[in-house]
Amino acid sequence: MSLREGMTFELERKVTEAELSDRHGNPWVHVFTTPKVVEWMEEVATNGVQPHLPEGQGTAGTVVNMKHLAATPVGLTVKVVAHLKQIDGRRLVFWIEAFDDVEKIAECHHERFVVDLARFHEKVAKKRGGSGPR
Amino acid sequence: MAPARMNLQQGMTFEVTHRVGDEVTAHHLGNEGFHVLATPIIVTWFEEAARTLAALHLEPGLGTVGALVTAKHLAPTPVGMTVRVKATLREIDGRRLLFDLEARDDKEKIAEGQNERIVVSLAKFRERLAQKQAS
Repeated sequence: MSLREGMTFELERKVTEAELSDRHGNPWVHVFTTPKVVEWMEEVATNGVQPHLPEGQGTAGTVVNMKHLAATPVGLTVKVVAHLKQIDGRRLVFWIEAFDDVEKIAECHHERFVVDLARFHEKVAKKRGGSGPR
Repeated sequence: MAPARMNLQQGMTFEVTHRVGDEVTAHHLGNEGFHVLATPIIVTWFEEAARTLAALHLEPGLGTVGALVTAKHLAPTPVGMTVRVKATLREIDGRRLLFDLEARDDKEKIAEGQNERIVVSLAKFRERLAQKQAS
């Protein structure tokens, strides 16, 4: 794989109604939800490394350790920057930060594992007790 | 904010249960080929369990916002299984609440973590937010 420590990956996106807390069961807290920030952080890391992996491999999230520092109202743009800090065999360690138009809103230690998709499917199918990947 | 305005007690627990459908898989969130429960969804369910536990014991006009969340995703969960997420209130420190979280599917423990939440006055929170929006 062509992954190198020190690589950075980015995503920039506007916060819409769909990402608000009150759409996720926290009524009247009308801000960008913590899980959505986590989702965007994982997205940056996942999509960032994917092109550097051989066919048939992907990554699965194993650790999320996230501080949500400030609230972001709808309409602001959020930029997420993932920094690939460490490659330890199949284990990838990221430091990810998120900023809105005003300030830094979150930071996160994130780890992913490089997995062979066929083997992963096999393991999951076995756990399901069923047959075939899905 | 006086702690007397809430009836939260250390050791309280709350559980939420979810069926794993196609819409909560990593594949659905864009990680192609991973038809298993996505980590950010576990984080969502962690927060749901902790937030609901708190909400049941807070006075009207108060709510909680997430400040810190950690999750170790230990095992993959295939579509069709049921996941139970249990929140335990570990610590109350003024307006700061710390929860332990654990998730289990039909076969095994799949995740553990913590969620720190801050009790806020919803009116004040909205005021501050409006200020930021206008800045």
